[in-house]
Amino acid sequence: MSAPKSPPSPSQMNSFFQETKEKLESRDPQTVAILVALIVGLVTLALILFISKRRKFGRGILLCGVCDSGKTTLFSQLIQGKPIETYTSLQENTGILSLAGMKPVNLVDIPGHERLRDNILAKYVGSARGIVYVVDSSVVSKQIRDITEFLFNILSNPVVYSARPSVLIACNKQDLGLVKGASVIQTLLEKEINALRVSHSNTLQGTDGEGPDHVFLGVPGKQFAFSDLACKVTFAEVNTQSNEATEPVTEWIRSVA
Amino acid sequence: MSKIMLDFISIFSKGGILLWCFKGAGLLDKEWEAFTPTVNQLIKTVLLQERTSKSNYWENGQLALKYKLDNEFELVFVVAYQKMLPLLFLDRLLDELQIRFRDMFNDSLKENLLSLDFSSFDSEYSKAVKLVEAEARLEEEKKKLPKSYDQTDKAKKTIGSMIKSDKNETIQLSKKAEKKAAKAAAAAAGNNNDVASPQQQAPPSPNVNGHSDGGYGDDGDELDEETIRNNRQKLFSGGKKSSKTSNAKSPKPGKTGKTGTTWDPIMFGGKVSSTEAKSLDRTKDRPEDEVVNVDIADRRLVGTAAVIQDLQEDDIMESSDRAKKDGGMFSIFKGLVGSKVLTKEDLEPVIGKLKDNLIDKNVAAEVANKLCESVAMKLEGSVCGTFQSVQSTVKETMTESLLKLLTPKRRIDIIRDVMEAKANNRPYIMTFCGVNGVGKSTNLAKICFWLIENKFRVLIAACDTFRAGAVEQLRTHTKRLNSLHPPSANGGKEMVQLYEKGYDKDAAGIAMQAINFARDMKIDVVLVDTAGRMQDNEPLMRSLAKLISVNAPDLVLFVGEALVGNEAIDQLVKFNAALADHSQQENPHTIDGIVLTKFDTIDDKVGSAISMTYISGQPIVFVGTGQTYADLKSLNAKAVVSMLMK
Repeated sequence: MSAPKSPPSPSQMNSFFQETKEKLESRDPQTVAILVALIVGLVTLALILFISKRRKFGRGILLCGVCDSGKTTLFSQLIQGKPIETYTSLQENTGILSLAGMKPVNLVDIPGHERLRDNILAKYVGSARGIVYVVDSSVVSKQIRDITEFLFNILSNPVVYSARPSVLIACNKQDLGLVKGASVIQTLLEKEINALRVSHSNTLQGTDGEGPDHVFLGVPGKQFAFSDLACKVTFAEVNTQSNEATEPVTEWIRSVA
Repeated sequence: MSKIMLDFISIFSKGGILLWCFKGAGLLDKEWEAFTPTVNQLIKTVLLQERTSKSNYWENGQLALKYKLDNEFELVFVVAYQKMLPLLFLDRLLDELQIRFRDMFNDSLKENLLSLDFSSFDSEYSKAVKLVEAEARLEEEKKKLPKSYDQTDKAKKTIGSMIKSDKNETIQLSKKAEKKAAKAAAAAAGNNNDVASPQQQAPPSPNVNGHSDGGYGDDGDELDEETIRNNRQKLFSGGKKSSKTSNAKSPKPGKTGKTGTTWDPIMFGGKVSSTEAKSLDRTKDRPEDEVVNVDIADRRLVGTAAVIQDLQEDDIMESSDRAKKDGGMFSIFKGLVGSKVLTKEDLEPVIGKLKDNLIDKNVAAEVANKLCESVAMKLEGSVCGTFQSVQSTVKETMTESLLKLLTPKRRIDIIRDVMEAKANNRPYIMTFCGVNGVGKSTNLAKICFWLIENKFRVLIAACDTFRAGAVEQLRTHTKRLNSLHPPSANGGKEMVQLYEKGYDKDAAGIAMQAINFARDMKIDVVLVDTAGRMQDNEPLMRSLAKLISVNAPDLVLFVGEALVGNEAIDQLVKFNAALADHSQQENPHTIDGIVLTKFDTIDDKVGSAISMTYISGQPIVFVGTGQTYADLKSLNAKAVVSMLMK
């Protein structure tokens, strides 16, 4: 075992540089090759870093909501411009939406069924630039707890909490009779989230000893309001059966993209 | 049979977009509107709960649905018809539709589905229907056609056989039958016939595999000569006819006449002739025959086993593992070459091993079977990724399915529901039921502790009036919990109270009184403890059903222990059935959730969680991991699935 090498002295380094310079000037193929390889390697590293950083704030718009709220119809309306008949989705639908005057975005329609949504959402939530939460305005008061639970889970998801994408709450099915307007739905949701954030912070630990990550939405002690959140939340009244009534969503996507 | 009585056919993508549909004629608007919710119901109950089975049939009220999954293009084909009119050709129709749809839209299906117009499929559909109908008609007619002359019994009898002479007739017929059997056997070897049923092949009946014995005339003549010769021999030899030896000649003995029973001569007396002795001798592989072989084997081993060697890695690995590894290697190479379409043969060994793995981890055998079937259906025909082996694809799909099973299908937030009930000025009622000794009272106390930690007041109703010491046990728990959260710290109110009326009283009555008491005292939650009962005990199940239907609890929890194996299925099914049958209401209140207890006693054999959620379809609400009050956890689906798949 030899003694550890001492760091090269300045004079040694200088002579090394001199030699390299001479070799370069004389176009020694070996040195040139080594240098080119080094440069290519550095450039690739830089590109990889750049791309991975970019992906963190990706170009995805997610359509979420409970079952039968109209997500797949909205998806078809946005991509195709016409509504179609749909059934309960078993898988996510993805498509590229390119409207006039903005860069194309990845539109993802996440199935609303309880068994599927969390796993599929986890796949796409990292690249979400904006989230559209679709609400069925005709049954919102009956299903307020289920609707709010999912919205609450999305908002308190740690990835969403840190990335702070914009959120649009689309109050769908406005063409049916006796539906609630956007402001009423906003009040209902705020009241429910107020109660939920208390009950959720008291859930039990998991069997492997780790509890779910909890973030407390809004300001503790104060009644919950969407304006308290760090991400920007807007409301819109929408009817996915007609093209004009879906305009608010397209406008919002344009502003977010 | 000119019109099919199909109500509805639809083809839609797995993402939910309807691609093409066909509406049967003569449907009311009301019926037509009922189809979308029915298909949605099919999706939710069958496809999402991993209950796809080989029979791919599901019924809901008047309608019956048959479905088919296409895993390569992610499509679902559904056919709906009235349950009372069974249509036999639907499987064939579904296959036909699938093939034609794929052929027609092969390339475009891989791209954006929304932009395509699928109405051009109408013509293909009518063609497919006509083809399938025609096939079905042909098959029916085949069954109804009268036999041709060649197939009848009369054609089998030649003139020679019509000559009446008793012994000869039977001998000749039996010889003919043997010859026919031999012929049929030879033909059958190439025809995949059932080798084990000789009786079905030999008798002179017309429908022997659809073969018409046209060439019988020649055989008849041959047989005649042969039989005459044999008969002469027998007449002259005069010995006992042992039908057994003659049968041994043909590969499949035909329908012989009655043969005399050979009784064991030692036991039942009688003489043993040399021929009989030979036929009675059952020894096989007599040691005298094998002296030479053993000798050679021994000599080869001499000199090699002097030193005992260490176990190598390869020795420890199971042979099935080895086989799988080879398959895995090759499939990787195959995968590199191009995308691989998975077939049943590829999937079978991997899924078999997975099933054994699951059963090892204490998943009930029936559930493991059904799960593997469902995963196989999901993967058949789908395309393997380029760098993935078959095993990893199957494992991935299985993990996904298990995760889906363990994810609850409805929202579980008990605290929120209690708050809601409080706002409506009524108590929130939870009932615990289960078999004996699973931990109902212990876990009731733990849940009570959790609730009072969340500042709710609880009333425990002691409806276990049978087991000795049940009421005292709950009284001890109440005292302990009250000492942990004394009234002094809670505004002078007692957090936990016990409502009991002693032993041998009607449980349903006690529960009703307890709930009224809670309502009067403005108590937030009522926990009803019932006696443990076996699922087969009818009177006890009836009394449990009465308790639940009379008191209308908000949550009915089935308490099951994690140690249970195949019994879990029986318990859950029978409990649910009892609750549904003995309730007078239209919508009986069945089990809403499961409490899985004694989770700390199983290390990684967590299969009972899967069995219970699969059979009942309900989520696991609580997990009990010990005997102290803090040992109450919620189920972490990912951890359980990773333990199962290890």
